[in-house]
Amino acid sequence: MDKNETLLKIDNLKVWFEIRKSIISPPIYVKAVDGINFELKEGESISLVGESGSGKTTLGKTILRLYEPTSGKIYFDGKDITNIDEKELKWYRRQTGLVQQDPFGALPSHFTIYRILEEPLLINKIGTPQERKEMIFKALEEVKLTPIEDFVSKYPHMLSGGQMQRVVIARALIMRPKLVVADEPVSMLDASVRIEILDLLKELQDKFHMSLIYITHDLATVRMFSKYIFIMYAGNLVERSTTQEILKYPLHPYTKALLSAIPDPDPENRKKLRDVPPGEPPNLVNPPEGCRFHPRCPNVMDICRKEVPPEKEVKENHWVKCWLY
Amino acid sequence: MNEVELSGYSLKGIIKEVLRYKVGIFAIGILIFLILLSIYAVITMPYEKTIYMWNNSQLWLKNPRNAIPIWWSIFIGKKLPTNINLSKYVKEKHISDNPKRIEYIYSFSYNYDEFPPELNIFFKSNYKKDPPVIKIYWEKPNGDKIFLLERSLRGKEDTLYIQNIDKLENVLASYIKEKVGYYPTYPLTVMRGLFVDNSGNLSIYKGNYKLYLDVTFNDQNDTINIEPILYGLVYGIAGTDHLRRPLSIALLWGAPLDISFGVGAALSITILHLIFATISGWYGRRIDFIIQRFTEIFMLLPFLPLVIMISLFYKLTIWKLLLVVILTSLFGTGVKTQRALVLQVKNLPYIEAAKAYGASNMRIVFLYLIPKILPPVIPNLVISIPGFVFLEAILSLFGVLDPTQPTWGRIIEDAFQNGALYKGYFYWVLEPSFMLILTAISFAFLGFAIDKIVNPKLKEM
Amino acid sequence: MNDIILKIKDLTISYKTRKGSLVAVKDVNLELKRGETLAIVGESGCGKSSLAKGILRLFPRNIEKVIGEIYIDGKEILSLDQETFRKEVRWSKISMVFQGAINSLNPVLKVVHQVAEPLIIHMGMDKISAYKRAKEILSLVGISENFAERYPFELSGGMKQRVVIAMALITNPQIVILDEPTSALDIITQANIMNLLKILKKELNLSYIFITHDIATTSELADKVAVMYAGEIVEISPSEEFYSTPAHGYTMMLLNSVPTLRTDKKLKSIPGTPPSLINPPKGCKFHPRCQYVMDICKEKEPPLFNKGKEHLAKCYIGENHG
Repeated sequence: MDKNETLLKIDNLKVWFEIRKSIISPPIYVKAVDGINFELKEGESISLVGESGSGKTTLGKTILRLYEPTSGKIYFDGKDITNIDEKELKWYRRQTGLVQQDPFGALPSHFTIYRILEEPLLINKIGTPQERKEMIFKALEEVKLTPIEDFVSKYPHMLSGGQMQRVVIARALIMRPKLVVADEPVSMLDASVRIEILDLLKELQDKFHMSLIYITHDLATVRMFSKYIFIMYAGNLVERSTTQEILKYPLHPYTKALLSAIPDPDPENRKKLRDVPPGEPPNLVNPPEGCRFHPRCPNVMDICRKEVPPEKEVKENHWVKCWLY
Repeated sequence: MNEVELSGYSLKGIIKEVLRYKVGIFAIGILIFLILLSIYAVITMPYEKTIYMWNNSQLWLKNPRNAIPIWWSIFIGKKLPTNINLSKYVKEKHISDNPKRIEYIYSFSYNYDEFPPELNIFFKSNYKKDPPVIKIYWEKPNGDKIFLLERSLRGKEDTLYIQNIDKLENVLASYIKEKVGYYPTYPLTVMRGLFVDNSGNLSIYKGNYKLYLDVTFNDQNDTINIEPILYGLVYGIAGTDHLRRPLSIALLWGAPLDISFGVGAALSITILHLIFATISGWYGRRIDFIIQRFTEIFMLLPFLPLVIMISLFYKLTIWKLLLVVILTSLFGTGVKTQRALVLQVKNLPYIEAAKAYGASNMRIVFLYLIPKILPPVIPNLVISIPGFVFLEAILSLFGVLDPTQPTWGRIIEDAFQNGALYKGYFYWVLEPSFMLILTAISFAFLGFAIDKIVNPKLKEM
Repeated sequence: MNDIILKIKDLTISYKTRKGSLVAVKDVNLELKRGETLAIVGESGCGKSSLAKGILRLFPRNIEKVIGEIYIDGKEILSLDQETFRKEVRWSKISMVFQGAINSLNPVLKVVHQVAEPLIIHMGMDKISAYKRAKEILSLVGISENFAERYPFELSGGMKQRVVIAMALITNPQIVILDEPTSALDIITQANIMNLLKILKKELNLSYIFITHDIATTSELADKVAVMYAGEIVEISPSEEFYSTPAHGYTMMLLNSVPTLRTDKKLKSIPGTPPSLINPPKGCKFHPRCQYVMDICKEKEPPLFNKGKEHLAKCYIGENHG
């Protein structure tokens, strides 16, 4: 059965980016991620859902140590990896994989597909040349880029968007990582291709028993993957629970807004206006006081403007940060 | 996705693309020509030998001075005399044994439209006690034999510069008065006198001439070797300069010298700029700051005056100049523009992905970053080559460079020093200028063609 | 007065490329009624942007042929000379919100100026009146006077999109072409912009041509939906029927490939890639990828069949083709 040990633990993680307007003025900070806590078990997958500026991408990439945490802790496999330097990070890099949003930019245009997939193996000194060749061929097979001989000597620009994204996935998985962060893996692909890539990702995740952090703004795709959904707004985690719970019984006003904003193909839609809050996510340099959603919230109360709501477990395994509860 | 994409970054692919454009074909054609020229130069005249030849004026005494290229005479419309080595027309006549006396007769025909500039006779003689005595006679086409002079050799090696012997002017003037009735109304030089007809005007007597050299030896065993040369007004494919050196040597050798200078400078400087720009852009912060400020300081320095100053302290051969040019261009605009490219590429997703699977900084810089920014850098490299080629020429003009090396700039410098345009030796200036401009155009066109390939926005459908 | 404000008849647009003639739009026939919204759905490369720009006569340098007729308010516009078209039709009768327009705003000009520009240049209005009108339109789309005096970089994505919409409305056109107006925006902002478009349509009595690849958002505006594939309109249907009873193989597969929030269905992606527009396949252009393919699809190009009330499709499914 599943090994259900905690693979990843995030403890009050904050990622602030420093902006210096000039040498003399004091630094100001973009508070991209402002105090996140959660745990991820082996083989589990969660979705980080949010709009732009929610901090979901920053969080995902900080977990991979592509950004430096400003404060808080990250534990992987029991080890504290928050501040260790690059040399020691090497083993961590082997255990993690990244699938990026833009297939066109994620592949180096001057390498062949073979070379692209060989790079992680070369860097981490995995296998003999013959073994590497086998691993690469197997990887291409797993992402269903066949016939393999056709693809190994091609360059990225000769492939379609969907095919490129498969290579990106193959590259992320080739070292059999324990944790994969997929940052909006299909948002730049054609609508008809998305489901194929998502299916593939799900299949491989199950097959290799990987933990997956799926970052997206499209709630409709979340159902495929994850057991858990984490809703992020302006650097905070505002609601988290299982997928079923959130989609059926959203608690936070922002979550409700997200759900009502998504159209399903229904001809009646054109006859009515959608019930969504006005405005846009706030500037992260000077986010609003108290609950960051309060300027747009239809249920705003006085306390929301002044104090940050704590996280409460309103129902079983369903946590919300909102003064309504 | 774009179907009309780069045919990869292979050299073949790029050349194929370049040939699509007319300018590309033109450029590559000229470049092949120049490269063949260089190879020919290097193979047929090795460098050391060429330098020796170029700086040894003794070798060229038998060439005419400032002769124009053979094909130029087409433009002038007249038949211009070429160099004639009369020794091939020699007939020896043994006159007496004691004293040993031999008459050397040189017969040749002269049908050109202009007077030859010089007649020099080279003597090499082996004698025991006293040098042989020479009597020189000149026979014009009408059969008149004129006694020119009598002289004994002044050494084992001696040369008689007929055109410089002033008293011959009087001899020939008298002859003309005898024939025509009055002294020549035009200014008479020796060469004119030898070849003028008897009409009274300055026109050439075309026909068969004979030169008689009556040699009286002092000893039976004395020998002599005579080489009379009637100099021409044209010589070779490129003419000659003031030291009688055929310009074709310098034009030929200018190709490999100037091109390797240009390419060497452009290549080294671009590579250095690339390295500094990449380090600056990739590591950022303090290193970036330092390198950028250095670059700005270098950019402020006046390049040409600096190089000229350096040349005043040190004698600069073309290779030392190369070093100086590279050192003074260590930090230049390339560092800034390429850094901009680096900053753009630095944030591309695939660089981030490389970090995620553990690539080291060095690896990212050399395998991921530089190959990506190289394509836009190449056209600039190619286009900067003519600049350096011209630089060498300009510095030659300023007299900065070593005069012992035959480069195109050197030719122009010699030409100006000797008043070429003033004296009407246009070919002397035009030929090297033409080569310079040809080289510049070919590299520039090549650079533009590559630019069109590499810069998708300039691409033509 | 004719109820039909836009009529496209047998429009074909082809481009010159190194590899041959590329037919981007083929035999397109469309009609738009006053106050109606037509959505054109298709994947990238299907020709929908070429079609949209073609209506505005914005052709690229390598344009080869433009055949067919386009009638706006009964008047044929492809045969007009450049000047007349520019003055009387483009932006006065019909305007466009371009794909990615929010990135094309001039960063060095204030927002109000960019919106007012067509008035100053086209209609020769003086600056003060033009600015006044621009501010009116901007407030109509939800940009306060404060933000009108700002530069584009000071505005958020949703606000920039509103500015671009204002620019398309400034000259009171009757038809607005919207090419992917919301694809770069966050989901809640998308919903807000859609709400705005719905309100504007009613208030200004606009007719929309709404172009997108997202079949779900078409239902937010469309009265009629047209599906474009490989340069051709393969299905056109009133939206009431479109989502429930699609008639073309491509439409059916498309509707089954897009994840939805509220309904649970078995999703299946469309295999393969769109065909080459230089060397398209024989017969129905979609047949290599179609799960319902029949023999005749590979041989003969299907004509436009009547599938219901005002519902047409170029598909042999359900047809007796003896």
